[in-house]
Amino acid sequence: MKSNKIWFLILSIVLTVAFAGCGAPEDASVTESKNSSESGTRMITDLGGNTVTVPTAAEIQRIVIISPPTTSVLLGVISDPDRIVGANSRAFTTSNTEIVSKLFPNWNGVETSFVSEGFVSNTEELLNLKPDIVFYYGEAQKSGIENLGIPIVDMMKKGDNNPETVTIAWDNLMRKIFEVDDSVSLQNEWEASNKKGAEVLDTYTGEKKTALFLFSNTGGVISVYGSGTYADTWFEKSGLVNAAAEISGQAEVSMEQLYEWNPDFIYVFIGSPASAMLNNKMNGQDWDLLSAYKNNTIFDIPQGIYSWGAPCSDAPLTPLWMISKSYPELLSESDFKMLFQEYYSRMYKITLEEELISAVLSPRQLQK
Amino acid sequence: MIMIKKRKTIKTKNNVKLKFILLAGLLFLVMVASLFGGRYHMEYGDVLKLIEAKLSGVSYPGFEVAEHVLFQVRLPRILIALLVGAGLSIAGASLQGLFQNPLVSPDILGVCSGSGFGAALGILLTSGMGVMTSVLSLGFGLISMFLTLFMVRAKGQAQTMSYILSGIIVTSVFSALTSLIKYVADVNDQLPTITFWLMGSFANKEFNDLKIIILPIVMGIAGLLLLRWQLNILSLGEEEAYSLGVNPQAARIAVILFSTIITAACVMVSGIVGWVGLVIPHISRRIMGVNHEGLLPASMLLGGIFMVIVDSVARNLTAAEIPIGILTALIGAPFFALIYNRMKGES
Repeated sequence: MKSNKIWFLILSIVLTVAFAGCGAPEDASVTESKNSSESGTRMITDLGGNTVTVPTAAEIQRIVIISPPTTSVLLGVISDPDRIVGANSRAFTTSNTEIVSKLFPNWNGVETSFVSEGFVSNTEELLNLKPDIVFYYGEAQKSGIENLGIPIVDMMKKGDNNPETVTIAWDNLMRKIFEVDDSVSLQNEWEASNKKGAEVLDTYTGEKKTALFLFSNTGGVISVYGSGTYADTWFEKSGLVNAAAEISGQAEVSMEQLYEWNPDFIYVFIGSPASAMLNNKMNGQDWDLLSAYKNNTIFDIPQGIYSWGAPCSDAPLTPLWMISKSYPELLSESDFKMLFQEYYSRMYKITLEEELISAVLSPRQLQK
Repeated sequence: MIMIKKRKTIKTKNNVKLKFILLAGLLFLVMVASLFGGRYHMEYGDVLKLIEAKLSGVSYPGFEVAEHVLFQVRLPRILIALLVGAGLSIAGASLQGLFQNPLVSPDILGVCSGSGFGAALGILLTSGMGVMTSVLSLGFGLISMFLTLFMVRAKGQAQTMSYILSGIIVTSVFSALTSLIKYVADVNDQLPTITFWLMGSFANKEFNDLKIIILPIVMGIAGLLLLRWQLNILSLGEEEAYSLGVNPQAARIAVILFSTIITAACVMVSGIVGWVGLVIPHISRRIMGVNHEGLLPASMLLGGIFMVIVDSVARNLTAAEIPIGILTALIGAPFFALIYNRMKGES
């Protein structure tokens, strides 16, 4: 009899726990839903396809943004950048800080040490920043920040290597989250840029020129962007053919391969600047045999609110800048400078001085 | 009976000679063939004309880029690949003989990881500019060897196992330090460079690189070749070595020192190229037998042939450079499995 009682007790406990367990999520979801309607939170679908409950724009007072180039888009969207309390340091080191200062005078006070060079966040340090929302980039950055009770928004549009669609998606999502009107949006800017580019290139009747997107040249390792990369879009919109199209993605290549391609133009993204190659100062590399060296057509990709070689808020300027370099007879440097200035006054409501514009467009200096 | 033995000895000697001639001839053929192939398109006739023009000291106008590619890009690359292959293989064969262990390779004393760390540090500090990367790579390669020897000395037991275990400790420390460098390196620029570099490559190597490594590698190879008899004697055991007038300690240190110099110089110029120093001595042993008199030169020639072929594949197959370390592992590991399988069958 006694043992029957014990078994009954055990069974009761098991059943209670099981029912409680089954019911729990439903109850929680109802509560959350109630809270949601009370505080006015919204459900959004981020670029990773996750459904995220985000607070109203007015309630987002502390923003942490780990994905570097998306910070530039955020700066173009919100009028009060002081709400950014944490960011990836690269958001500022890969940009012209003078321009960033114009939009965000306190950028230097933003906490950046919680994200390592490997782009992984220190969860506890992140929590210390008490963010209302966190913007991250893909699964690698997600680990450690999920299940913290903070709304996290994935900005990675998986498998999309088109800077146009990627930046428009970033911009639209940001505008939705921060409830900002889209009368001035990256979509409009891309449309204008595409129209201008096509209009200018329409007058060209010659053979298409070739170009190379030199990702970096560091420590004797030359790596380039082949097909399936951002270079596809940059070159296509600039009336250029990617000399490295036979390569897929980013890869290391030899000087012999560069001689074989012998591109008309070389656009240098990061690493050793164009001047190092134009002065033939790279160990083990003879640049003087290339046409781009002889024609002085090796250029550093400028850095505005972010580097123009990556998708960012300045991205619609990149193809026009490339046209001004590759086909100056179709779009002169002074014409591009004007477009550059107009873009900034529309997008960021700031006026860039002639000196600053020239500084952004001038080559990088050789360090060390 | 004596006559038969004498005949056999002469026959064996002739065989060895023939094998060396064949290996040397094959190496020459492979090098010449390698000169003809590359990503920059050249007609065979033009290559021949350019070589002829170079040998007779006349210029071949209109082919400046082709000439540069042939003599300033391909030639130094082939010569460096030859030296690295030969060096790593002879170092591997010597160390396998010294430690009486067929699983020993040139990185057993931690030299590769030390050199790799030095190069990674150089890329981090100077973005690979100047000679700092090479100096640090060579320096840390030597430091790792001294650390291993120091640990063996501190333990007081100069046995094979002490060397191997000390080498494992040093390798682990420098591997961890390399990981630390990768962790703090710029994720977009320096990190891919360090990763590409560590995987091994002869891309963009020039005569200046050859000038830096030729002395240490040739010196190391010459030293090991001179020690080939001591290596034979060392395999008989310490007492026998003493009785035959060989100081086993001194010989051991000399072999380790020469192997280290070769390995560090190889890593310095090409990054970490694994498996060559492990597999090639085994193949050479199959061809030449266990006598170091024939084994060491054969390893050297075969290593050179192997590396020149692998580098030709790396630079011809695709427009993107295939890291040498990947190819040597892909070819070396299955080959080694085959040899290992046969060894098991024999035992």
